[in-house]
Amino acid sequence: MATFDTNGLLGAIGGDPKNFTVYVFVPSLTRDGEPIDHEAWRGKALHEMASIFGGATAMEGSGAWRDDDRGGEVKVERISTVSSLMAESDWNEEKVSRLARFLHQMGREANQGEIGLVVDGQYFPIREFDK
Amino acid sequence: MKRKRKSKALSTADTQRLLGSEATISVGKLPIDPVGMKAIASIVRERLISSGGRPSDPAWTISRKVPMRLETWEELDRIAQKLQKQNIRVSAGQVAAIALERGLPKGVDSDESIQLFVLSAHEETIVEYNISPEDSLRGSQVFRAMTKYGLFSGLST
Repeated sequence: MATFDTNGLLGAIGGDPKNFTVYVFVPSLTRDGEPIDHEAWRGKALHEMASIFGGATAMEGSGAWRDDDRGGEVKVERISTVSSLMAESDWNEEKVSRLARFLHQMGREANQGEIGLVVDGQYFPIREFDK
Repeated sequence: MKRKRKSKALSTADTQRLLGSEATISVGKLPIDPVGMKAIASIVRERLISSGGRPSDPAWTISRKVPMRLETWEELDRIAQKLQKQNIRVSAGQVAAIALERGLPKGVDSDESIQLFVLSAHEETIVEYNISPEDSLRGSQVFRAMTKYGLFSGLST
């Protein structure tokens, strides 16, 4: 099969392929159903993830989650998905620790039951915000 | 020619530790195109609710951080990975939860009885999950370590 120098043809930057994806879900309600400043938190998530991983994209949609600590009640809310594409090597201890601090801050200050993110096909639920 | 991979991302266990997250759930590949991305939250929700996720006991409604040695966590993670290779989708945290719940003694409170109970309970787990003799031995070492380092000390009088 013929191979092409895609980077060369596109004039793109070389290096490790950016094929590792992280999605963070930004909420719009507290765990009690009170509205939070969704746009502000989405902006913070974009800023933080771009700062850590070099870029980020936000898309708005709707989401739902089950609050097991409160009788399994299902909460439906407007959410934004903020994603970053990166090389595998960018998912390292230093960068994950920085992201963790932001996610725990969002969980605490936005009074969340859970902050969720998907890392390379695995969903990570964070329910205690102590970082 | 296949390109040799220079570097790898953090493992699931390390990511879980650094994020302070609960057990992970596999949701598979997600879209990265703009149209697909708008539906990501719905896709993830469906996959979390569907039976495709990890087997989770519905009675597990609370989560608590349990301090342990790094080596203990690595052993749990290694057992989980071994089980995953046998298509048993379980995380290190879930292995720990199973071990704890099977290991908790009922009506027996001496240190010796606790240790015996934990070890025998672990053998039941081994049969149920078809863990190899090598893992059985390592698993027993994990339980001894968990007992030795005071994981069950609050139960003895």
